[in-house]
Amino acid sequence: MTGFQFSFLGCLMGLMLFVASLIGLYMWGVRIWKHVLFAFLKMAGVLCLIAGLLKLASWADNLLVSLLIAGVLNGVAAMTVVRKSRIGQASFILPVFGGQLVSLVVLGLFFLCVVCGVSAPFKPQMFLPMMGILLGVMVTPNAKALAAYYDGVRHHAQRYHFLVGNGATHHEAVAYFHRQALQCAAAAWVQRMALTSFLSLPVVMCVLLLYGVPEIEAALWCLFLAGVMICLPICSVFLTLFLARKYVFDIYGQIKWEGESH
Amino acid sequence: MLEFNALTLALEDYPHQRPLSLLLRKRQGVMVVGSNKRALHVLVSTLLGRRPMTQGKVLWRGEEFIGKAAAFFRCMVAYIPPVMAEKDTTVESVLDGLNRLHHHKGVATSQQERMQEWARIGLSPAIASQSVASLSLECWQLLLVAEARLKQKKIVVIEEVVSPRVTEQLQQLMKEEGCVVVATTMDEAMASVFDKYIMLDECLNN
Repeated sequence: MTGFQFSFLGCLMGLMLFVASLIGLYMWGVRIWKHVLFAFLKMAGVLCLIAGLLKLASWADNLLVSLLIAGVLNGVAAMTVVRKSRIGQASFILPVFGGQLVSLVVLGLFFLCVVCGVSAPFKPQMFLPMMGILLGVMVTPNAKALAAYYDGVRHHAQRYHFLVGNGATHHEAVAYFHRQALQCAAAAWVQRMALTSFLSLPVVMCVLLLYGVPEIEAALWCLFLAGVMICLPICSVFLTLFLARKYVFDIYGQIKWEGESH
Repeated sequence: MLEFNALTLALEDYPHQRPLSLLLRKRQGVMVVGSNKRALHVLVSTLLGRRPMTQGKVLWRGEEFIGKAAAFFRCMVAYIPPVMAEKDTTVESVLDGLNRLHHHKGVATSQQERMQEWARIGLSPAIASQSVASLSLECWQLLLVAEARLKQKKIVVIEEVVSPRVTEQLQQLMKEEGCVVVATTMDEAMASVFDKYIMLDECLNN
């Protein structure tokens, strides 16, 4: 695999592409040029941070360091999921973190070792980018699924109590909410596939080809990655809901959020 | 036989309660009358095992009733809450949910059986597609009493009874199916409808 050879002049020319676009926007009086600039700076900051973490992982070449970095990335993703799902309680970060981490590591390693046949899955250059890709695709479906589940519990609490009072187990009574959550996760995946099929995956495939991955392998990798992208939010949501049960239901199966009103 | 044995409820506002004791045999019912809606609901929740009690026991045929498995409740207990305020939940979806619980027992109600029962008690088939929030309390309670009959329940726990039609159906259920009924109401005029009654306010303000 041939690496890129960035010179100082090359970097300046690359930056010029962005600066020229910004100048064009400004000269045409497009008001959001400031937003474009801030978005670019934010993205540059995040890229620098990720590059720094990956560099640290490569330098350490240690499984524990890689897992720690994956944990940090997962923590940021968990906070994003809780914020986007509008659950409203910071304590949910822990079960979201746990649910995501377990499904990420298990499914990520399954994908790398069993599906792709990678012999050294814990190499930082393989493990962390894989975790990053999977985390990136997991956040939105997770957030939507959790929002659907907890909105359901809040607004259909009477249905839940009715079923429990008539002999439903907790699992049977919340099955309706699980269904709603899965529906949202699947809908988010379908939406993502519509974009990903024509935008992201072909780009990923081209990058793989640039790095000398044969065409059929690159296509298969993208195809199976799409499969992991639907499996992951489903596993993560179920694990999260299992871990978060005690935050929502007390030991008698009462919904805690209603306080003493029900 | 359902027995309340020196039962006191977990209500912080009422620390000095007179323990509730009552024995209900087959075909008997009790009307619990109170002015505090929340206290009535806590009593029902306690019976259904969803809240702790501070002391006492509830026994069914001599065995602890609260804490029994979901399978027992599924077989024996019909819980009729006040009307749900969920506008996007239809009557049909609620009854389908109940049917799914009872499917394994073989008493999932067929549409035909249900329509026959509804016709008997004067309910229109059209309510199946209505939202539960649009139903009157009487209509909601009547259709769930009908479900209790169809599913051969032995214990009916019903909240906020105000309609004579509903109490008439409950009395028929007790007489014909040998059920035990525990009902709550805020209407003192309903106190003498069943064999026994409890004035909950007197017990709470001991």
